[in-house]
Amino acid sequence: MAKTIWQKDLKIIFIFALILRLILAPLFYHPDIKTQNFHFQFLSKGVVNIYQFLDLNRKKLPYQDTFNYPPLTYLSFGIEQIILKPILPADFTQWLNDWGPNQNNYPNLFYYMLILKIPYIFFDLGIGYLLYKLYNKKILILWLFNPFSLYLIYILANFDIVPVFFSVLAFYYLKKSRSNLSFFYLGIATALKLYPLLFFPFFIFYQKTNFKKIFINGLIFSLPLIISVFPFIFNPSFFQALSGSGLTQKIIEFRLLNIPIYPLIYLIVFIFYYFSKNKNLEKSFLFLFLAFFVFVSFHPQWLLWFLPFIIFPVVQNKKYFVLFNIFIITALIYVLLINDRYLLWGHLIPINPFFIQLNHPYLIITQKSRIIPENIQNYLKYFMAFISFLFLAPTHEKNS
Amino acid sequence: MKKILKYLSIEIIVIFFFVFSLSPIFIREEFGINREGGQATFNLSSGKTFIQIISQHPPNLDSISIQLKNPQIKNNSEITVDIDDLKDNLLQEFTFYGANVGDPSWIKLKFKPLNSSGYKIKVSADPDQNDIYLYSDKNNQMDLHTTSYLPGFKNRFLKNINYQINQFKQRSYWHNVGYFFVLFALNLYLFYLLYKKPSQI
Repeated sequence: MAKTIWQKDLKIIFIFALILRLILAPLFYHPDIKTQNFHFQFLSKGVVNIYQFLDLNRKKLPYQDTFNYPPLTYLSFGIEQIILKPILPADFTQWLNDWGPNQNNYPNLFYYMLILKIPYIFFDLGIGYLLYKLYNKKILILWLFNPFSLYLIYILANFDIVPVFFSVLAFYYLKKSRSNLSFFYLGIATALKLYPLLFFPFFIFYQKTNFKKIFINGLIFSLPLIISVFPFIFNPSFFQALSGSGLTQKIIEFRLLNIPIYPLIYLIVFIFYYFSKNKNLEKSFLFLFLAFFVFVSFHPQWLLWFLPFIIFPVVQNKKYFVLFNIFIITALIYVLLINDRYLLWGHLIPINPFFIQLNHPYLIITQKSRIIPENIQNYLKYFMAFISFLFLAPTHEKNS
Repeated sequence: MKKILKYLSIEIIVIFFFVFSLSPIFIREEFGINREGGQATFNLSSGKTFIQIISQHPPNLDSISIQLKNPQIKNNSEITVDIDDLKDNLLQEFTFYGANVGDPSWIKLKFKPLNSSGYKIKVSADPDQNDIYLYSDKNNQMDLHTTSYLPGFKNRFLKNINYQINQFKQRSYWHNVGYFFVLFALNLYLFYLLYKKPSQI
């Protein structure tokens, strides 16, 4: 009986989360979803090597940027677009290739956004389910109904939710001691977007290990990346495009005495983790997350990478919870000060295209004062560094 | 009934907040002309004046945006934009410098709402050895965005409702039907889950 009530509660949570997502998903737009789908459309036209194709044809295309993601991303989302195409409005392809003054004036933009985000909804709910299995209902509710993840998944609408799902799935199997599956899924996540490489050393040493295990796990982890990248490794356009993704450069950008700070902090966190008895992966990721957003010039959607892992340590004690919320709100204010008109009002163009005409905070500050928004961003970073420092103070954790 | 109302009210609040309240609060203008030819055709550095006639425009014209190109930002001459009525009475005058023009960029000029039957927009620059171009289309119609001011919250609120209804009508019919059917069915299922005994689920 208790189990049935529990299942009923779960169903209510998931159905309401689904309804809320179906309401929110079509209301918001960010050009990233268009630029990515612009590139994905070429798979349905028989283009497999997108890097070479863009190198040769870019100047003839209405949108001329390179494709900076790994091949598995192109192939899987290209297939996804082919599957979704029958349910997309008839003028979808026209919109995808329209980069002129009327590109925001398509009434069906509402449904492009809804349908393109449907896969995100499944991965998002999937993460919720995994977090429920890993922890408890409270974590599930926090994941499904917190405004930060809704903003990152449905407003910024980047495909990062997919590698995030696979990295959480990998973590789930790691906790269940099924390391083969764990490293395979972490490998899939890395083949979609390279950032889960940051998690790999922590996963490797989560359990007692030896050289043979490390070798096997490393091999399983590398397989998806090797298989998907191999056909492109002799192609210079591929390397040129991938080097434009920026994560590697951004990680080593901030230096003190010419020492890149983030890699140094990463190493310190890893050493603490390696020598710790209880191998608290979530807490290590929390510190990596804090350092990442203080010392790396980040894209807003990158906040999502760590979020599912750090919810648990954050809700375990009040101090962390309060500090984390302050940290995230500061990070979002930082994001609003980026000189990108699509990062505030521009999101709302499916509701009314005129929103793109409204001045965003960067412009308001530069037009109405002599303050340089980048300076405010620097102060916000100092503040975030201060908040991060407070996390280090000893706390009394609840047992849950 | 109370249980489902809690969920429905959240859904309605979300829809009302984003679809019906944000626009009238923050959008106080509407689009007028929206034309982009995308060709840097008219060289203003020769000292000639480009004249664009707008024979009719919705009331309360309150901004115009023109597209200019200052190659490598070399030109720093004075650029003048006049807005006259059709009888050549000057209504607004703006001057700015080439250094304020990108390679290329849209220049937005805002002013108090104008109500004339038509307008003449005159763009000129001081002669200079460095080129500065005005964008236009193949028919020599300058790249131009205009906006009109929408007075009063109530007026904007009602206009937004009309706008949302029109947008809805212009969307794909079957997608509208499908979308509302899915939302209705999910809410019905939520209702079922909330009111049935656990043994019936």
